[in-house]
Amino acid sequence: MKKFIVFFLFILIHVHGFASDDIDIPQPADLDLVEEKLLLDAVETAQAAVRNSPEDADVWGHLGHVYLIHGWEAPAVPCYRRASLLAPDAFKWFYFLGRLMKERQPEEAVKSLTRALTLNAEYAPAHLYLAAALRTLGRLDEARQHLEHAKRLQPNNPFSELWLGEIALAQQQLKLARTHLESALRLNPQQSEAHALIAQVMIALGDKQAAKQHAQAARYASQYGELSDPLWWDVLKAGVTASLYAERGRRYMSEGDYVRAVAEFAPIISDEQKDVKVWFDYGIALLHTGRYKDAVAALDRLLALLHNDADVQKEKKPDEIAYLKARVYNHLGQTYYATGRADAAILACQKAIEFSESLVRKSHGTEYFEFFANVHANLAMVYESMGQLEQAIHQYQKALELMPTKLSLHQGLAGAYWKRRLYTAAEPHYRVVTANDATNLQAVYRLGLIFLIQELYTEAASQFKKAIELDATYVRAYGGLGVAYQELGKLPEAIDAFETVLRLEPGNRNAIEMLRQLHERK
Amino acid sequence: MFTKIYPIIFILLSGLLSAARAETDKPLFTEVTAALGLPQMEASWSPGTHALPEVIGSGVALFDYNNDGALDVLHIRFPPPGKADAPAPNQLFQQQFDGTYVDVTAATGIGHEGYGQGVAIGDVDNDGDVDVYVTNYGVSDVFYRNNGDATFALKEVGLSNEAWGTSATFGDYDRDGDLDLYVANYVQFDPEMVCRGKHSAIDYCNPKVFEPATDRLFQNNGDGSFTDVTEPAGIAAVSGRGLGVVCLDLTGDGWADFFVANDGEANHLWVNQTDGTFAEEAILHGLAFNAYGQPEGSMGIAVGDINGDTFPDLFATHLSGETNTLYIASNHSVFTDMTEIAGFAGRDLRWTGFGCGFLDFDNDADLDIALVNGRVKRGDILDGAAVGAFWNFYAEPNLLFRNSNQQSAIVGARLSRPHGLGNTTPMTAEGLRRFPTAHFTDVSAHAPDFTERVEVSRGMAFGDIDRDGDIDMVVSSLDNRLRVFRNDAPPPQHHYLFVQAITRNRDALGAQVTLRTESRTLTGYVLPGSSYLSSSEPIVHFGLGTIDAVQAIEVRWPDGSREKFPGASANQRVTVYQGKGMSL
Repeated sequence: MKKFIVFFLFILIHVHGFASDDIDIPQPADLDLVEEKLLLDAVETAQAAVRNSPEDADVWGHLGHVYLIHGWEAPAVPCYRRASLLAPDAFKWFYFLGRLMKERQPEEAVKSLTRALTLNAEYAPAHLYLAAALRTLGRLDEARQHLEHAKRLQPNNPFSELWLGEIALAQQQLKLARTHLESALRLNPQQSEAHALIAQVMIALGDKQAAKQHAQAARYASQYGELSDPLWWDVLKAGVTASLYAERGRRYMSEGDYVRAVAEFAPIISDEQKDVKVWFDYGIALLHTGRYKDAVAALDRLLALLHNDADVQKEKKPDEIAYLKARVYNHLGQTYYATGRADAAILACQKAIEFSESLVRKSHGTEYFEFFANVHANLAMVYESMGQLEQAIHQYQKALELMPTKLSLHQGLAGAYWKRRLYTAAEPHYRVVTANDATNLQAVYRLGLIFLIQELYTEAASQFKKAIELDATYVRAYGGLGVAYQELGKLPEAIDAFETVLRLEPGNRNAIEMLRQLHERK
Repeated sequence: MFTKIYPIIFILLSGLLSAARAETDKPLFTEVTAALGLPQMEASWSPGTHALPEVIGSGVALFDYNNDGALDVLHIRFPPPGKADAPAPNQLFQQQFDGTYVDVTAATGIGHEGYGQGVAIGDVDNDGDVDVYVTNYGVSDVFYRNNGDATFALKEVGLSNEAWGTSATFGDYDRDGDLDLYVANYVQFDPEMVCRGKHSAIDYCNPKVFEPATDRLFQNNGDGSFTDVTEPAGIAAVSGRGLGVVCLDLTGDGWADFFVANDGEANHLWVNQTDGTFAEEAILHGLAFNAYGQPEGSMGIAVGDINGDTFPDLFATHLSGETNTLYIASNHSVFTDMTEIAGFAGRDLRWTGFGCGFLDFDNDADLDIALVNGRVKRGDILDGAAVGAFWNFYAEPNLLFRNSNQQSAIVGARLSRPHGLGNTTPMTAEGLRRFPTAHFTDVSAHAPDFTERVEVSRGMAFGDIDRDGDIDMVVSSLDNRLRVFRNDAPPPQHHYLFVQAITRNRDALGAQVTLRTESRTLTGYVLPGSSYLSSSEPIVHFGLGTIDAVQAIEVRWPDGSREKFPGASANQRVTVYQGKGMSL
């Protein structure tokens, strides 16, 4: 009861404090400089809602969202503060306030996020941001506790492990730091922050070679490096500038929701739109939603910009333009292939490949290599579908020149050879595949057949047994095994194998015939 | 009896307390710009045009150009926004016998009318007077040779840098006895690029929209000329958006390395391979990123041994939302971001830091930190901002942190405090041994002249301008304003010692000076080229606290040799010459 009275007085004082000022709505200092009408309208609408319903936490919170997402952090703070006062049991307002204050006043952030977590202890990002604020304040033990909590809530979130590793490193607990950072890298191998930190750990542990490898990896920007925060959508949706529509579109794409992505891009698509990235993403989103005709139109429009627009030519480096063109042609190729226009697909892929030589030569990492290897593989697939196996084989070979260790390319080439009945040529590629992926059933089985053809019966039997280990119901493997045993003179084992074929597939004529021959030999 | 005496004691005590309070409350720094006769800004600065060079600012140098023993001031300047044709010559102010300054720009011939950015000071021909290198935006950098008669001559000596030069520093990286030059270059700026903030209004571009520019390294040929060795030395291998640079042995092998503060991307540590080439190893040495492995917008650099372990520690200033980062060195030359553990507690998160320095402002025998701030993106107008309607959006106050010199107390507190109850965390015994850190307290409120003005400050240089034994500060701002802050902090019982290290007739840039006392070991560096775009007095200042004499002075010279010199009593300037000490 006492707590309630104190709380009531607190609310009364604070809420009244605001109200007595005729609703003192915080204003962005440079609002006058904004020319974009959509944004001015959004601000005015949000402010009007506050004037109309000054006791409504949601309208204050929304005004905070409008400010925050458009880069006005300072006036967003009092809006969230007000919302959290009006709705003291609402998690989100304390959360947004804390998240925002983390990079301004960490002490305030700790208070807000701690309060938020008393209302909802299950929201992992709140633990992560609270840990970050505590870390800033040097309160490492408390930060670690929240990171452990976040880890329990989201075991696959690499940030918990990353920041636990960082704290361990700061405390020179090197082995512990290494454990956490290696876990972070297992969850996201392309997180450059983890590579940077583990490089330091390795140096301190005396492993300079490993340190150098991680240091090299740390030079590249993180992929998938953003902390996942579903609630952030509430803020993002308040954005009305073109860049925010695009950001929402891209986020939907990253979540695989291409229909919504298209809906976000659509309002900012017009003849005046010259952002090539917007056109590209829009085209890809359309492609994924099956709107092939629209996708082709968008990608064609993008190509026109890349070819002819002076602003784009000036803004982008020649290599950037070339790479983007190559990517567009590659996607066009996929689109044509999906719509049954194989000839157009081949042409598009060939156009993409035209950029290969100049870009690959300048490539610092493996990005260009991997991309153009994929284009060659796509082209090979199209040729293969048309029965033009020689061309398919040639394209797979080109792809492998760029990415000699990529297993899917070895498998594709081996498959093309297989179709051409060039079994000896297929063999080394199936060997590569099985050596690196022992669970690839098709490769294991086909390698067994190639051994059979080569009269290497012991090796063939071994391969078929591996195939059976992978899939105990794989009838063909039992059949191959039976033949191998037969050739090795192991007739009882051969009979067993063919009987298994019949058990799995009663009436199999080959098995019946083989069994008849085997029983006769006996 | 008591009733009579008690009031008297009370009155006496009150008086003493008042005196003590007055001492405590006395501002740590006092602005003396006008009193020194330096120019005051009158007209307000032109509103910005959102061209990136407008927010980079320029530097200031404190040096003795005429060898009269007094510190002179070189102010690097640039034209107002939108008025590229309005001349803004760099200005040299000479200190007079009474401590005031007069403008000697015209008389000395050093008033280059470029778009001044940074300054490096060093005696490149070992003739006993210091020469000047000025970086520019838009026009080539310039080199002024000191004629030895209180004039300078603009010379073409092979120091050709057409890129956007920012900070530059002299240092003898090849140990051949003469000073080489490293120039940090920023970006390949396109003036036609228009950038907008999240709210769609035009603002200054993020430098990342421009390609980085390659830094330059010039080797001194020993005959007064230089050769551009950027390519053969390997510096061209990686480009960055460089804003700050220092030249010092940071890897413990006795050879000078270069640390470059890059804006918004990994910093660079060019590790001297001792054969004339360098390898970029900032990540391996822990200096590329912050504690989270993330790049920051690095601007200014301070170097000093803040924890008494004789290894150089680094401090780099950053954007708002990022900490200014304190990198503590361990004995295997790996640096660790110990910012939070050192007590900053995010007090500087709101501000965008530029010029900075470690200085023992109170002469209590540990290094404190001063830094100046000012945004590069529009923000809310803060109370007290008065630099014009346009620039008020960018103005911020400065900061001053005192090293509370409580390493052992802090460590003890950490060890004794139960887990989860306190604000600090116990480190492992190994960690404590390797990382004695310092603890900083925000004392900005005690230096209002320096910290309460809300301006857009950039350059910052340090030196004992009034020769009273403590370090004063000079700050330059975006509006070509210069401010001088006199240090009034040290209490009378705190002593000091200045050590000037001379090699080959010039200041031994890059030398490490260590003082041995009965109770302490203090280490400093001859490193004028640090902070941001600026150059400080080329001398090592040691606050000694109550120590009144040092037992020995040890110097590790830039060529890697080490010598020991006799001790000295406190409160003086001591000069040590290479070759005159006892080899170690």
